[in-house]
Amino acid sequence: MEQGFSNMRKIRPAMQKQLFGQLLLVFLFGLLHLSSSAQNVEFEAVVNKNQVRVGEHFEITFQVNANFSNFKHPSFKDFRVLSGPNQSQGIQMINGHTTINKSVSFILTPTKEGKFTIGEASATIEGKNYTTKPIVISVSGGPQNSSSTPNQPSSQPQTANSGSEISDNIFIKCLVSNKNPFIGESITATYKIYFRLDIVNNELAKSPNYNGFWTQEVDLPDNVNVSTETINGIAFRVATLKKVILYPQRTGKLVVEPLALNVILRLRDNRRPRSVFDSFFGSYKDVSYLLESDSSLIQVKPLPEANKPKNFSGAVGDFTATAQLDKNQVNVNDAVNFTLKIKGEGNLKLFDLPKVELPADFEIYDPKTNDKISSTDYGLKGSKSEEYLMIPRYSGSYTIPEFSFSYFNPKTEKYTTTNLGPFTIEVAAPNGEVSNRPGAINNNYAPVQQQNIKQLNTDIRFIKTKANLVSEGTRFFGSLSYYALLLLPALLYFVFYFYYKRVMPQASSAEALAKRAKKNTLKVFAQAEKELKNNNIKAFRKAYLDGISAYFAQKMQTDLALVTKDSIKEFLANKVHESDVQELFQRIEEQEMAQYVGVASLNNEESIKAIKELITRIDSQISQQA
Amino acid sequence: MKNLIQYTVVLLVAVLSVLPSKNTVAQVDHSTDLFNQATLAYQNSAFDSARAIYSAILEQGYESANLYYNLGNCYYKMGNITSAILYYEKAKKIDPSDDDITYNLKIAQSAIVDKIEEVPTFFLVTWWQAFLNSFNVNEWGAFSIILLFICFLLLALNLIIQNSSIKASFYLTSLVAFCISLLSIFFAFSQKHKITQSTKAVIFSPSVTAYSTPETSGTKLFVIHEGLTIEITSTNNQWIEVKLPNGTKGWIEKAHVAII
Repeated sequence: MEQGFSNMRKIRPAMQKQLFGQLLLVFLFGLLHLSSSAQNVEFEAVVNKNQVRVGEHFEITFQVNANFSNFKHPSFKDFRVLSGPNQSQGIQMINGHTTINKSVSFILTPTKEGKFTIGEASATIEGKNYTTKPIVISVSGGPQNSSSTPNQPSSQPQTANSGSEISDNIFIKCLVSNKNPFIGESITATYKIYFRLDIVNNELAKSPNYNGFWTQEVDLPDNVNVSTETINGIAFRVATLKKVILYPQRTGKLVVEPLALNVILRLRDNRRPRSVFDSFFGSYKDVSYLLESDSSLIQVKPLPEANKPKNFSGAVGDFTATAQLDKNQVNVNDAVNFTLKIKGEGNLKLFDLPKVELPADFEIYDPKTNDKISSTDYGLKGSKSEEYLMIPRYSGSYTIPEFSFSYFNPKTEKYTTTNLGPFTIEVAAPNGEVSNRPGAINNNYAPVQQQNIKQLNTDIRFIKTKANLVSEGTRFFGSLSYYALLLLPALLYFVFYFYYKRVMPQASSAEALAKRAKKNTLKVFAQAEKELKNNNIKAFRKAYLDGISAYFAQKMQTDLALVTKDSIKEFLANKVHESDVQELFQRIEEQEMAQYVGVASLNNEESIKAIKELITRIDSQISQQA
Repeated sequence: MKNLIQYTVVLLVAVLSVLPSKNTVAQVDHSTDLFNQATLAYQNSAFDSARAIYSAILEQGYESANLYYNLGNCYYKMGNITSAILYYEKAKKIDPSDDDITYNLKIAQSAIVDKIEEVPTFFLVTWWQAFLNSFNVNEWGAFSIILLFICFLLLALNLIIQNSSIKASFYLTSLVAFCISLLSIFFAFSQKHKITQSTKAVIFSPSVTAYSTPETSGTKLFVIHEGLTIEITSTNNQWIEVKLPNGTKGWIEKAHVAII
């Protein structure tokens, strides 16, 4: 902030163009036809003061930087013309550039109090009609004592008068290029001094503070450029004191504070000349005066939230981002350079370059930053870059993933995102050497240098991919199905217990066998019938007889070996009809005979049918008896 | 033989009839589809839309430890640490045995303002808690059923086996299984009690002052901040008495907390 002081220019009184020189030029070039079509026509009306008292006189000048014709001055109905029209003409040549200045002036005096407007003057310049702007003159009452009656030596009112006179004739303006910028958008604040008095010396009294801004001073040329500007019809000389580029850092209302300048002015002394020499050279005095610019209020807009990129880091302006990898195929231990560069106009110093995820397994050195930023009238311009030096230590394929740089362009009011990458680096194991990648066969059996696993970052763990949803508040434990499943083993056990203790013993006992004797026997007969069909007569007869003996063994609950014809006879006595018993024995004998002797006439089909019916009959009679 | 099959069939039908019906199964499938959509969104870093889908599933009346955990992750990624902690705590309540939930909760809690040292508990209590938390309520329940099956299976085998030494060892084993099964039921009950009798809450206001009585005229005791998990020890109208992890107690307004 202090450097503003050293930058403060010394304003030298502009040299008045001497009338003599101008007249000489008129004589030399006056008759020449000079084309002035190359420049803009400026036709304006200028007064030397716009606040006058009744009786005071002032000058109005209509000037143009070209030849004119058909000049019509406005009516001066509220004023009295003391002198005029006075015409003057001048030619200027600067660096081969010729300028004609022509002017018509009047000296007027107001006749009454009030506000009066001097209307437009018109003229035809290069075939076109031009008009000047009207000028408002305010006339205050009564002739002023001190100025109109210089004979009365009174210093008191004079200094008071000179104070207001000074403030009208010298002031500082703070011009802000944009009073409603976005946060981070550059604006320029220009401090200009307007003066009509001679400045002997100046000194910076107060350098402005820019709270809420990031500032960058613009270097101004060493020698001050003094130009002319007309304000309310009065021509001022103007010089730029200070120019600052401001980057708002907060949203809301921000204040650009005033700049204060201490000037020493050389004023004409109106006192009566004391000596002959005084009146000859003119007398003057030096007055110290404090000038202060007004403060400007700036309303800073926030950046729009809509479409704001996720990685936006506050870059505002117009940029281009580039990323470059100097080679993408290297050998192990060869250096690789990765350069990231952002170029353009905007708040270059106020944001960081995007973060790049470089391969974690590389040896990476701190980046070399290279900023080439210059301040122009409109903001910062240039480039900033970061250069990373990486050395791959293990072979393989590595990638620098895609990353992006986003900025906000205040002109288009849009965000722009540039995607960079991805970059792939192929790292080859050096020829003739064995890769030092773990697992590679190492001829000299040197142990692989082990290292701890680098923890790169900490983050929360990934989400679960299985839903396992249940209705809210329901829980397997305590639900009806839980209790049902809890009781199930006990129930199954008791079912099994019942089956094992009650059903199984019955099924295996002799009594149970006896009950199912007929069923079992019929099964054996069915087998016999099958053998018969297959013409397997021997097996048929065996099954036939076995069926009968098995039936009685089960019925009598004895061993099969104990079943004889006598025991059967005894068992069946008084239980079964005599005829059935006889038929049974007849059937048995018939088959036995056939088995040992071979009777061809025996009808086997009829026999098996009969024995089945017979056993069924016997069984039902035994059951009835029981 | 026929009787046994009949009995079993009747029993199974009875058990299945109390299990969730087909209709609700279809709804769960629909919500699971939504869940998978949210997983995709999360993978594409669209955390806000993933969060919206998870919330929609919650609104349909479904929940699971995984659902709460994923919601917590979404909030964490969106920078809302307080909500992340709330949902991690909800997930942890349902499934205290999950390692991921505990880990993420710890990470989220490292980002809150208040750092309170927990009162060191007697190591046996810590062990007991850790043992209880090694399974969630449903796992303890399932465990009890499996053990009961084993118990009765061994008893049934004992009816068939004649060898007396094997019989004795089977009896002993079934007895042990029965006892552990009863213990598991007890553990499941204690876990269920923890879930249903919600006594914990997360502070949601940036700064909360605790008073000695349930009114603002009471003595100001301490100030706690967003994201802190506290225990609710009693309630009085709009006020709750909270107990900090370090054992300090004070009254705060109910509106400042979200109950887990």
